[in-house]
Amino acid sequence: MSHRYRWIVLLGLCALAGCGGGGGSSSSLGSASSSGSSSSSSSSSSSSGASGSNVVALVVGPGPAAANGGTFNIPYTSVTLCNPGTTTCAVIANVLVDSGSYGLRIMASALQASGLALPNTVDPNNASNSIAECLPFADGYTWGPVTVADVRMNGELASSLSVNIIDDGSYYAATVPTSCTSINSSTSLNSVSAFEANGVLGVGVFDQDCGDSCAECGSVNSPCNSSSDIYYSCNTTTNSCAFTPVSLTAQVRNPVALFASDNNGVILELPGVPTTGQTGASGSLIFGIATQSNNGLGSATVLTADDFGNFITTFNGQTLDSSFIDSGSNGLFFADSSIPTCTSTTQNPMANQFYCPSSPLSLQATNQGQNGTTSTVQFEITSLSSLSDTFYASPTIGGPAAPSSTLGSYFDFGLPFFYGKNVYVAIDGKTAGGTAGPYYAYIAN
Amino acid sequence: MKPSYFRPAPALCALGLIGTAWLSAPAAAHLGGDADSVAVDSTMMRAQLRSTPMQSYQLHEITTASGTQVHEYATPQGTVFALTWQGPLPPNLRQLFGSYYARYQSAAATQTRPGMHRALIIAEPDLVVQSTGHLRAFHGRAYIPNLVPAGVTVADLP
Repeated sequence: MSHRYRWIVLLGLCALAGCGGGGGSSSSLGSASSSGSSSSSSSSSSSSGASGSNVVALVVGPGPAAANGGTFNIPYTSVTLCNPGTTTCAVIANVLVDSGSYGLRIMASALQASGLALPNTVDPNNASNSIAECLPFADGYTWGPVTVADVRMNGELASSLSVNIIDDGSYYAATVPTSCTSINSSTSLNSVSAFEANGVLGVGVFDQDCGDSCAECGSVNSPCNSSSDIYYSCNTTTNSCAFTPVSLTAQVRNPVALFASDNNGVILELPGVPTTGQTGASGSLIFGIATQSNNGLGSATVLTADDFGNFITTFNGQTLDSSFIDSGSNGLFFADSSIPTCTSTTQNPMANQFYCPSSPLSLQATNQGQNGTTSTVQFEITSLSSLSDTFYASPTIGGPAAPSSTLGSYFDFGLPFFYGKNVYVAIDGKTAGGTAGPYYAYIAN
Repeated sequence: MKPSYFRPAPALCALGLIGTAWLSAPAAAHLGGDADSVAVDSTMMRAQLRSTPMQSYQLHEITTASGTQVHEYATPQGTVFALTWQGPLPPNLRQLFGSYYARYQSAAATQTRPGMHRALIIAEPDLVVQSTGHLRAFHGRAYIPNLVPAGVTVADLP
C-alpha cells in the first residue's frame, strides 16, 4: 500500500529530529509579500487563480520538508508576521489553511527558524505572568504561549492579532499543565509532523477560538476550568499555570475578522482534480465575501450553520446533525459499514482509518442548512491503496467516521470536497452577501 | 420515564465536597465506577446533575455552565457502563474515564496523524471510545462492551 512509506518515514523523523521544522525567512516589510510559499506545484498540478490584493495562493502539495511528505490533501499558504507596529517581519510558509478552526497558530520551531521573535502576551491581571493556551482536538491537544503580531497576507492586515505559538521544542518555559493533558486524549500534537505544517491558519466560521465561556468564566457558579476555559496565566519562573479568563478581543482570533475590510469570511478556490489524483493543486484563498469584484457569492448554495458551526447531512438514511466542511481534514469522513476499510498492518496501523472499496463507488449525500436550504452532493470513493506515493491531491479518499449516535453524528467534508469548487466560509456575527454568518456556501468552479 | 430529581452543584459545594472529594477519591472509577463516582464527576466540573431511572439503566445528565453535556449510563446496580458528551469544549476525560484512562491513552497514542484531527476512534474488546468534532463543537462516546446491560443498544442511548 502506497502510503505506508510516508508514515514510516514520518515517525522515524519524529524520533530522530524531535519533529522540528524549518519555517520561513526574516524580511523587512518591503518584501513582505507571500513569496515564501515553497510548496511547489509540478507539471501535472492544475491551477486556478484569482487575482487582487485580497488573494493569496492556496497550494496542495508535500508541505514542509520536516514532515517529509507524510500524508496528502493538505492545503497551504504563506503568512507574514511582524512585531506589532514595526517593519520587523518574517514569512512563514507551509501554513495549513483550516476551515475547521479559528485563529493563527505557528510552530515555535518555524518562528525560531525565521529569526523573528515575538513577545509573549502579559497577563493583564498579573504583570509577572504570560498567557498560554491549551487547544483541544478530538485526538489530542496543543500547548504554547499567546503572542501578539501584525499579520499580513498580500494586501490584508490584522493589526495586533493574538497568535498562538505551538511549543514544539521547549521554547516556552511553562510546561503543559495536567489539566491540559486531561482533556480528550493526552496525546501532544506539538509538532510540525502532527499537522504536516509550520502552522495552522484557522479561517472557519467563528471569530474567536473559544468565545464567551473563556471570557466570562471566573465566577463562583462558572469557575475557569477545563470545562469552560482553554487559557492559562503562567509564571515562567515557577513553571506554574492556572486557568484565567481572556476577553473576546484578546483571545486567539480568526485573522480575517480583524481586517479593515474583506473581514466577513473567506473563499477557498481549488481546481478540479482527476479521480486518480495528481501531484498537487494550486488555487486561491480569497478574503471577504461579496466585498469586491472578485469574491461575489453568485449563485452558490448557502447553508447556514448552527451555534457549533455545523449543519445537517443526510446520508444512507442517517441524519447527521453535526456535519461540517473542513479543509483541515484530508479525506471525506463518514460512517458506512458497507464499505471495507483498508487493512492495518504493523507498518501502517492507520490504514483502517480509510476506505478501500474493491471498485470505485459513486455516492451522494444531501446537506441542509439551518435556513432550510438543501443541496445534494455527489462524490466518489476509491481505494487509498490505488493512490500513488507521489500524488498529494486526491478527490476520492474517504474514511469511516464514528458510528451514528444520538449525540453528534457527522459527515466531515474534508479537502476532497473542495476540488473543483469555490467554498465560502462566512464568520459568525458578520453579514456576507446578504446572509448572516455563520454559514458555508459552495459552487462548482 | 419516571420523574427525575434536579440537584444543583452549589448544594454539593455547601457540603464541602469540592476539592476533598477529588483529592481523596480520584481512583473511584467513573467509567466502570459506581453512582457515587457520578456525583464526584459532577462536582469536579462544577456542573448540574440530573438523574433519571430508565427501564434498563440509570441516566445521569451533567451539564456545565459553559454548555458541555455529559451523560453517564449506569447499570441497575449502579455501575457506569457508558458515557456520551457534547459541547463547545471536551470534558475532562481523565476524570470521566477513571481507571480506564490509562488504557485509553495507550490506545490513543498511536492514532494521531496529520489531516485526521477530527476523530479518534478506538475499538478494543474491553473499551470503545469515539472522540470526534472540531474546535467549539466536540462530541463523543465511550463504553465498556461487557458491562452493557442485556437489551440495551449503545447507539440508541439518549
